Amino acid sequence: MRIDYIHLVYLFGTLFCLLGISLCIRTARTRFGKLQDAPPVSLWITRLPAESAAKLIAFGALIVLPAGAVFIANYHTFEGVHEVGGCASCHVMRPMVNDMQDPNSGTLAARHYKNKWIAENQCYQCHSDYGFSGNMEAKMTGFRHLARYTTHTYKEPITARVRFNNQNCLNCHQGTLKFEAVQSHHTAGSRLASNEMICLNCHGQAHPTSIQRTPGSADYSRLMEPFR
Amino acid sequence: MREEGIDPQNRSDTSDITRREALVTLGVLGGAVAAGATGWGLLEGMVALRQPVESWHKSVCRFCGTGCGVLVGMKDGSVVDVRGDELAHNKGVICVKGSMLPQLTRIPGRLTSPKIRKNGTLVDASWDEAMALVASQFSDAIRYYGPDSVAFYGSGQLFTEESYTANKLFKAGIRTNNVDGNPRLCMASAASGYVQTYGKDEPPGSYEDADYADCFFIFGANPYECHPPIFERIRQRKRLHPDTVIICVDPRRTMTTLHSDIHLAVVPGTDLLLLNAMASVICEEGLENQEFIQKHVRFSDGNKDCDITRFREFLKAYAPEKVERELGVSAQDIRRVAFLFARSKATMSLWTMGVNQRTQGTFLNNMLNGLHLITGQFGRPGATPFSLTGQPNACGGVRDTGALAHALPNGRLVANPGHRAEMEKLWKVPEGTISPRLGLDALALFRAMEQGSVKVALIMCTNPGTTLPSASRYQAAMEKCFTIVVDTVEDSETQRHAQVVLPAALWVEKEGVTGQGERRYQLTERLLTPPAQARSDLQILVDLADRLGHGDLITARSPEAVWDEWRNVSANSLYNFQGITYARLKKERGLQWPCPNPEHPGTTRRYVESDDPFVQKGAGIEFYGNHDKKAVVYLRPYIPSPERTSTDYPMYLTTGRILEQFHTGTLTGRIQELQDAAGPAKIQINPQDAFVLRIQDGDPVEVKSKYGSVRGEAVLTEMSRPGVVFASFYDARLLINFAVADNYDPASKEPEFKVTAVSVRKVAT
Amino acid sequence: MRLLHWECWCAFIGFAITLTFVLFPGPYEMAVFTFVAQPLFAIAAVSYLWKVFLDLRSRKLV
Repeated sequence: MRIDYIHLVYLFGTLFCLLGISLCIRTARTRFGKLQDAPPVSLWITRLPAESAAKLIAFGALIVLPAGAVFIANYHTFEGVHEVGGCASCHVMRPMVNDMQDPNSGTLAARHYKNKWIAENQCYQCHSDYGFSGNMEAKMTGFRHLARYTTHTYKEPITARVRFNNQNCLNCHQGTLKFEAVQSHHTAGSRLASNEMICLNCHGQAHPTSIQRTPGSADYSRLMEPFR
Repeated sequence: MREEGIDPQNRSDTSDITRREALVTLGVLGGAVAAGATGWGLLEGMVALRQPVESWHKSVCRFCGTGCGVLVGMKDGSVVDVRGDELAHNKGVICVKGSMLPQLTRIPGRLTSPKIRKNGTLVDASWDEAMALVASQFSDAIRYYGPDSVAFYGSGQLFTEESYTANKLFKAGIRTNNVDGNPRLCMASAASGYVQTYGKDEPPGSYEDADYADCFFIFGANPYECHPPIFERIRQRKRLHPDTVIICVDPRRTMTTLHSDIHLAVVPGTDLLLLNAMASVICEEGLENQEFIQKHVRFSDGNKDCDITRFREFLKAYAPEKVERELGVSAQDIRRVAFLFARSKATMSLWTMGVNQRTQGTFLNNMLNGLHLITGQFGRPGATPFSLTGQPNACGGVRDTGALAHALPNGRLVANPGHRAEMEKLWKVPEGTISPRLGLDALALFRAMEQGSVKVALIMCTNPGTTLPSASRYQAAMEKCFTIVVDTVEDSETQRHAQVVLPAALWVEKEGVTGQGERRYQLTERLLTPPAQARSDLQILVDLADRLGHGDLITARSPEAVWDEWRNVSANSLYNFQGITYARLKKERGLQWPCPNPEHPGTTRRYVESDDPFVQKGAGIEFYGNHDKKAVVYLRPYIPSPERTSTDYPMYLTTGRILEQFHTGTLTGRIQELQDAAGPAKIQINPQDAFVLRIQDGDPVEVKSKYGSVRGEAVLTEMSRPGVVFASFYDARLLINFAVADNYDPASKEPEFKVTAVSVRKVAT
Repeated sequence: MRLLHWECWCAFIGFAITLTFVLFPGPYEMAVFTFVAQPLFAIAAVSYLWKVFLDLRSRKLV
């Protein structure tokens, strides 16, 4: 079985959390004032005075282990968003995923998927700003989406407010023969690079329209089927 | 480890401490949630502050006849972004020109003040001074030489309200039918073709048909470059249904042909041979749809009706083997294409200027419609004869309003006394107001200027100095006439010959409705103020009407008021769009007429039952525009263009548009990215021809015809068929229309831009 | 006395949330971790460090 990031996350995440929990319980019950009377503590290979041991454990419980757990959990976030399942866990994203996997759809996402131009982690290939790479803008937007979604302070159909980072398209397409043959890609190149002009203007929708994703539309229930 | 530091004997005070500590913990928990909420608030604030766009507004692209719906992003009172509108008919797809619309609102060289020519130079003047001069010129000419000594030359780029008002002012106020415009140069043949066939103008189908067609027959059109979102839709269809066949008929090897399955490179001017040959194959092989013909088709030779037997007889002369040599396409290919056209489940034809700008333009239009009618490729999703429009408002603004020299609103004709009487009643003018004399169509108008019979002409939103064929002749003609030019930018070729120039508002600086190629009327709302003293064309026309004493005729003075008047007028015809109210236009992404009442959703397919409100129940398909409810298929003989190659002029010149530039480039030529992408206009020559003529890539060459000559830089490309040279007309430095012949179609009066016999030679620098 | 009592319980809650998120990832778990657990850890850590600082100052080490 291949060792994947998720296994490391499970292992170390559980470890840090359980250790942290036990150390927290211990430190919570520690009466620091009474420690000078307590006998020394043996920790693995050394013996420490009770006070020192307690302080060390406190440090572990409140600084080291939380830092570790937070790191693991954030790593979990930023790696988890690579996977299609991660995106699909929010129901408002199901139309994008279902449409992408629909062989009869002509959207850019569907065409890239059908032709196997994006082998795996398909959402992330074009929305790479959610991961560790990519700009802060996308991450801020991502957390904002999270807050909105979980508190249900959004309206369907959802619409994007920030500009898409064209670099996601250019990373693959720039430099290819077909791309270079189009004059406007060069003359308007700076506008594309700065995201002032969006590639989709000429190249069509990436995902189902907002009408299709509006509750009550003919396509809504089909697009909202749970992701398997 | 043993538990340490915990003293069981101190349990007496633990309960108080425990409760307090629990409360503190809960308090901190609440604090953490508050901190989280604050963090969220900060995210919202940051995202809101970094919004490049404050508000989005739906609108319509300023450029071609696709008439894409766009979303205009405004911030701090200026346009910062334009996107394709995913909810409009074009499904979010526009082209690079549309993407540069924000830059259009900031182009340099805007006209900011009225100008009057004094001592040969245009000098700034006030509106009052300029309009007083214009009005006095009009009144004097009308008084001394009669109403037909003045004229209006309008545009398929004016809003409908503007063309409608001009038409009414000139025909019912000034009482001359000298109202014409640049649609004469582009869509007249399509209009006459449709009217002759169905009794009514305008394509019966919709862009949506491209989602269902199995065979695309693209004829004399280059949609990859000239209607990009439509071609993208065709490519989408093919991506999802790879068996779809795309056939392209074009003398040139264009980008469209490179994405087509079959390219027929016909010899310029000969393509009616192809259509007749296809019809001949269809009749010979039994590919025609007998049922459809019996129910819905009548045959005619142009003078009188005839039957299908005579049609078959007529077509015998056009058997593929007989025409292949002159046509330049093999009999085998002709047969193949005829079979595909007839036998595909749904065939959609698309054509533009290659068909319309021809001396046989009307005949070609007749026959394209005819092929659909004899094969029954009509009225089903994907089966339709679709004439693509070049300009954003040639359909709605000029064809439907009848702002043409022979026409009156909603398909009525000047020559018909009954129609004149109807319009007089609708416009509430006395009987006999509208002149029975046909007005001057574009070429006739400029020839009349040349002769001196037209003394004063108002030219709005167009650039005939560059767009008329044999341009030098008509530029000189404009000098003889008191020409008033209304434009948005300075220094067009037309303005060089004007006596008065008036500054106009551009795109979203004014408000109005446009009607694009699929009978869809869409609203452009006003979002910006025009610069300096520029005014909307409607305001200028209303001002002129007042000054000429026709203020009581032009009662509707705002775009909405004019629209309301016009839609109510339309209720008295089969072009009824009374149901397309301003409120609906503001809300919807346009509506397709016929649309007789506010509940009607618009008509996707005309002449088809339950879609078109004028088709009777049970009729299925009904061509209600004709008295017998049938469409007419014509026997149209091939007449070669007057422009034939000769020893003096051994090659053909043809002209057209390219992707990054629109028409004469007065707008797109001022947008840096588009200008850089297009580069200066060059003369495209096939390498085989270049070899014989000893021309190398980049050499200066002269293209010469009987009508004039043009010098420019040669570019060697396989895009040109051997024997054909091409140049686009977006660059005033290569004014190709100097060399283009001004022959025209006798029925539609549309000039033949596509066929001129020329010679090409290298010149010294 | 039990100097770090509430800090530890807060961290305890934080670890519980984090463990849930690690084992059962989903939008709600992610939201609770990001907007609740992280501030909790932060507040607990800051309070702990403050107390350490006070302790060191009382012993004249800072």
